[in-house]
Amino acid sequence: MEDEGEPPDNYFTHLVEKDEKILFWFNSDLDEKGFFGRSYLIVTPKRVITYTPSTGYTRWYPLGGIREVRFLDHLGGGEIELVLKDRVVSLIRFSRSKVADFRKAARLLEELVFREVRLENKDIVVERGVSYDKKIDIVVRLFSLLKPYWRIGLVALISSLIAVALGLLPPYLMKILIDEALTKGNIDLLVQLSLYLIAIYLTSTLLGIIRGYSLTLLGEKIVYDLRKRLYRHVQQLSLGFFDRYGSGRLISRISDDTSRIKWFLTWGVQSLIVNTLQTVGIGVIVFSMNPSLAIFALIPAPIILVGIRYYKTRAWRYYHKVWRRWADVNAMLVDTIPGAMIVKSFTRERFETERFTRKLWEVVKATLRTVRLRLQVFPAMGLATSISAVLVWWFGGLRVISGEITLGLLTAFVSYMWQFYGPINILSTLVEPLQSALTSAERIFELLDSEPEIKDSKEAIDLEIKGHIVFRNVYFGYEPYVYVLRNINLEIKPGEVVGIVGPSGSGKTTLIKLLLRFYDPSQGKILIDGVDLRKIKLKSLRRQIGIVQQEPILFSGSIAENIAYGKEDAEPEEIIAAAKAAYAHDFIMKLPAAYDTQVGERGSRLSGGERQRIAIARAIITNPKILILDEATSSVDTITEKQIQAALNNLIRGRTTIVIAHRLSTVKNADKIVVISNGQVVEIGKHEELLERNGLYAKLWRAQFEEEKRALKEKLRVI
Amino acid sequence: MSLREFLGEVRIVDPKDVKIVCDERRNSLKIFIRDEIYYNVLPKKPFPFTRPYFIIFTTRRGEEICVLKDYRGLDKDSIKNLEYMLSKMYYIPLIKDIEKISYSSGTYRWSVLTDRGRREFETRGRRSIVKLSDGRIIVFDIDENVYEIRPWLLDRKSIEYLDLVI
Repeated sequence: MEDEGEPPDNYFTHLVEKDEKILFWFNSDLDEKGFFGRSYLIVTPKRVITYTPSTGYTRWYPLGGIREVRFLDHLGGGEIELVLKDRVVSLIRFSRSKVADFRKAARLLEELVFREVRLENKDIVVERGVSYDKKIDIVVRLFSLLKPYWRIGLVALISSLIAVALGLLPPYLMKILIDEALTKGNIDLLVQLSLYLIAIYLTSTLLGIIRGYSLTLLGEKIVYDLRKRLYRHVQQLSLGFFDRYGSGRLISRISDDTSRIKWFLTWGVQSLIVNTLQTVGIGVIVFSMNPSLAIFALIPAPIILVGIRYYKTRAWRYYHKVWRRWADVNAMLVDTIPGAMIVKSFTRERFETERFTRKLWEVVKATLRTVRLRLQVFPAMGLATSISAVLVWWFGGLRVISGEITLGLLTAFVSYMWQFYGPINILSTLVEPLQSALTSAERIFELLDSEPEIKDSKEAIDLEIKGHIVFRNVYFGYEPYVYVLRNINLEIKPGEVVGIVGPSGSGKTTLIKLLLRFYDPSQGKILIDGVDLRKIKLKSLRRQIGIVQQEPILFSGSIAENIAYGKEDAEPEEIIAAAKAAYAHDFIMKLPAAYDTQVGERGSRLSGGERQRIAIARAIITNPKILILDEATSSVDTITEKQIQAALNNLIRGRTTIVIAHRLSTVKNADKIVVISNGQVVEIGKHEELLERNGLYAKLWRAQFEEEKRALKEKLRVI
Repeated sequence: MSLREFLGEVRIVDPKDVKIVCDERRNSLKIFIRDEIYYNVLPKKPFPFTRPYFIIFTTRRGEEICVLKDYRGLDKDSIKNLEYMLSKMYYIPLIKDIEKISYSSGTYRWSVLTDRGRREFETRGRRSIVKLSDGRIIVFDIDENVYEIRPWLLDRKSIEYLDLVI
């Protein structure tokens, strides 16, 4: 219900009687007078209660006395109103932030009052933050991704560790070089040390190459596995999951989140280990060389840490601002360049140029702000490090002169000091990407852990469908107890053509989604040839149902590939036969590359009518036993509609067909017309019967007829 | 209607029953199918890239006569006559060497050697290049000319140029 400040279990006990169970509650962000504050809507099997803890305001109404539950959308807020026997009362108010929650609350309450359903707390989804234990689990699971490639990881790690150890040697060798070779004129030692240094740098370079390649290889292999696994898993999930998740989020999981994980498991972890070891290693060395000089060397450390923290906390904000300003500029370009005709026809060129200039100047201002931030921090950090180096030279130099330490030791010391701040800098910038990689991992595992809601039961069978469909007392809601379809009873005989009509949002398409078993009914059952849909194998069921949608989706590829989508092994003559039946062959053959023509992304290179006919051919080639036409001719002009109608007539013959129609003329000749309103079947009959009955169908028919007449008049007036 | 019924409307003929001669007076073909003769016939490839040997024969008015699933089953003379006609209707030079591909303002400029001679052309966007499942590549230039590439026939330099655009 709520993701913030959930009250303890016993929070509402004083409001209810001893045996009165709380079914569900929702919290609002407004009190009864409309001030910001917390108030609650609590529902028990007997009553609905509103409660404001800060003022103690409490009201309750027995469920039995409620005649209607009204959800009211206001500007900046909303309200639930109850119609009681003798009056109307305001139950609870809330801001727009809570509208979605209370819309759900109103529907739940309505179901409870009018359908007397039994609600349980578990029906209401509660989202919570990630607990610490869960984070450890995520890290463990994340590292398990490395398991198949542990050898590559080990090579990368060992090469990194050796490179760190080798990196610590040159300053020490320089110390010997200065003190023993140069000062004492020992040429043999000079040559020997020079060769050692060459060998060290050579080995480090080689190790760098090995490390770089092995980490990249590791990263690519992991991300390849993960993306493959995710995509396969997503393809298995039910349609309900896609509805809840949204395609944008799913795409982001598969592309962006996996990239962040790749970085974490390869460069992130390695960088963490290597830089920590390097910092500790150099720290130990400088302190063991000369503790008092080491203290001078550490002077800039706090400045650097504070500086980086200061920078990081602001940089994100400032850089985001630059991106947003750029997004404004781009959005304007996207609007005005393709819309050049409108700009010119309204002679708004100057206005648009000025608007663009202003937005461009915002980009300059935002960019300068990031530059100022960088200049505030990094020069100061550089200065602190340089001054500390001077201090080391100064005090170290005095000790060299007094003979306390050698020149070689001082040189080596300064060298180590410069090496010290590199890894500290890197470590301080690692925190944020590591954190975001963990968040990505959590999202990916959440996706991988989701189970398909619709799957084959153990006793599911392959069924050779004849086409007899029965909906028996079917209730369905996308959310528990919030029904979109109620008590649907419908019989469709084999070979029958049934039109389903009704106002937008009445539940027509949902009915089809249930028939395709994208969802299961909440109550009741759907039978095909007497067998419950849940006992038919999904593949067997869907293979025998063809669907042509209002906006057919074609995939990138050739026309032939799109027609053969439903039948992998389709012979070329079958593709042609299906296209002919769909009245698509002639226009296809007029294209230079005929059936090998690429349709573009989502069929963008074809017109709406052409796409529709290819979709019909795709349905024909699968030879479906049941055919669903979901507003298949609503988005095309009259001539194209006639061609498509002819194609559909070919397709329909001999098949059980369900036609969802917005234009009632398309179902005029159906064997049966089912009228749905507000999720319920309100009328069934033939066209003439329904007109005679003078109900909703007759009303819709007259409205459409009037509309067409008006449109025709308008056209004639223009001509 | 089932797909089988629609299939009945596609007249597939056996290449052994077909003879093709050039009808030069009409710049078309004359075909003999057993004891039937058709004049002024045009061959059409419904799948010019993926199944280039699949042919539909039509009249000039576009009425379909018959379908040959693989014309390589015809006799030698018929193949020669058919291919002569097809070579005019489907002009798809095969790129044998890519001498240079340069890029400027969203346009790729190709200098190539084809089996029909040297050629320069321009392509725009990734959609102008289509990779077929058998590895061949079809290139459409900005004037809608079509070229075929068989990467396995190209030398290393040409492949490197090709990598720039695919």
